[in-house]
Amino acid sequence: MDSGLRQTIEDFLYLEAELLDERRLREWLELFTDDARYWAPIRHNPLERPDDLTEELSKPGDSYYFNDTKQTLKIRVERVYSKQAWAEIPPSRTRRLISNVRVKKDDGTEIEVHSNFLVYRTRMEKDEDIFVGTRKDILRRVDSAMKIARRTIVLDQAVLAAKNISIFL
Amino acid sequence: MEIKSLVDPEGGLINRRIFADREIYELERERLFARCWLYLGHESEIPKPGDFATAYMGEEPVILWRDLNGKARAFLNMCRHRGNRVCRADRGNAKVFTCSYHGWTYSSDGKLAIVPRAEAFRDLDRDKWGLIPVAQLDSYKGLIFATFDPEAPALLEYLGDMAWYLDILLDRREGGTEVSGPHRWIVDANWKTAAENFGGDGYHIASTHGSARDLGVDTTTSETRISAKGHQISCGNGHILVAWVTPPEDAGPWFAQPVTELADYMKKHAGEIEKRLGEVRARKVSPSAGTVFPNLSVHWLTRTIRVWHPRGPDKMEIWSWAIVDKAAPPEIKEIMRFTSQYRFSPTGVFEQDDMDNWIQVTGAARSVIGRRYPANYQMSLSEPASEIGLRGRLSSRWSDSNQLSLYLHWAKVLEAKNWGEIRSSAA
Repeated sequence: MDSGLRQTIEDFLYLEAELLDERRLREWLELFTDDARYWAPIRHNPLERPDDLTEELSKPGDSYYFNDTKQTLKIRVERVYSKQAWAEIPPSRTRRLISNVRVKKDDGTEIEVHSNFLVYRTRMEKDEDIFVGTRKDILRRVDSAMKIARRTIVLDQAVLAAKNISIFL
Repeated sequence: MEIKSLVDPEGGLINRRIFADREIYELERERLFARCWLYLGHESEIPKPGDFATAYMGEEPVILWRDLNGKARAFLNMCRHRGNRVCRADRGNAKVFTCSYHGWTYSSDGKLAIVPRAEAFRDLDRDKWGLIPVAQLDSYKGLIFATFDPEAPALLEYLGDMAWYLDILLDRREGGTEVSGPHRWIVDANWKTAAENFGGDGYHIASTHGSARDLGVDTTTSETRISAKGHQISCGNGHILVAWVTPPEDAGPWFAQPVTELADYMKKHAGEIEKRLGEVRARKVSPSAGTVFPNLSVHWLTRTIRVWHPRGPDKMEIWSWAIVDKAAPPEIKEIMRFTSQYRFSPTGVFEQDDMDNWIQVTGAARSVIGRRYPANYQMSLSEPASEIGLRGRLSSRWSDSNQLSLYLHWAKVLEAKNWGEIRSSAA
């Protein structure tokens, strides 16, 4: 895979992280295609070491952190701007570290990209959470822009050590 | 300690210490969590022989395990030898569990089957060293409960009138229900803050959850909220719920359903639902949320069941499942699961906003000055009870009656030396 493409994608992911860290959520939402899916499975500890890591993850038909369309994501975004979204009043301060960007596939229209994330969240006086995991994105070239058509977020924790996920990953 | 003095039902006052005191918490572990029937899991999580799911009863780790003959059993997840956990997985299928430490191996009926170098032990009677079973295990329409107390009343007696209301979620369709999950997460709040909230706090919704409602995401319909006809219902034994009462012109089992597709589904199957539940439960009442004493809570309309596992006086671990009709078509099941988790889960647009409230209520109980001032449970709007054949003691939706009956029962259980005393004073 050519490094020029990876650089373009890294720039895109860093811009996305910047929009989220700067709480520009409406602009962030515009990075998604209209038919986007935003999916985050839950996970469990298996009895035996599986050959396929995804066996530890919930599948469609099971539970999940997120199973959103752009429309249900939009409600989440608009909620944060409303007056009584207490989980984000006062707002979380976040810092996203995006790394290990791998371009897995490119069919000319859509690109499959994997990346790792570490999201530090602090809020109010001294609340602290660290969300760590990997993302599997399908990015789509729309006109001259890049958009997120599908995002899968896999958190590493089995029991979430946070009171909520009121931010976006 | 005088537990009863911490709860003043006449004055509507609760001493904040109940939410943070270590001594009270240790008493809860001994007298409440080691004695009451606690929710372990759903039949649909362990359908086949050998299937298991690990769970907790209070802070006690347990294995819920369908034995090779198909009987559901539960054991303390502790090797009898040194105490290591014999199972480290969350779920799966196993014929035996072998302790990683020295290899003691237990069969699915809990018996100690294999002891490496057994000949080196002094008269080891393997029959005496099996996994520690719960004292009683039973299920109610898919929900599996257990207790560590052999003196506890039978599950059906323990649930009392609450079972009648649970049917409205569990027994709408042939085949009952199935669950997905659980979501598991940690919150720095006392478990009772959540149990009392789900048990009857219709009052907090306008303030705490105003944002979700403003954006058209609710746990019921706006028409239901405008009419606001409903009751707190106390079923005795600490079981409490809050329910909408159906207006006569809109009577039907689709009443109060928060999502159009689910209302349509209920309409389609109204005949079956009414046949199973009878007229009153199908057409005249629609429970929203409730708590099965002590720490299982239910949201009927958004279809979640959850356990508030205690993790110390000021910490809990929430386990939450979405629960759907087994007979529903796949697309309706998915709408049910989404309706549930989009509202109630760590990412839920309702549930996210609850957490800081409960954390800070717990924090206030640690405050030396704050503890000098009791918490207010004085809401008690007087309005006539609906004469529609409901069970339990009815009070206004705008009341703290449920919360007080929860804490009165809680105090009774903590003070009682045995189940005989709890039963004799049950009101």
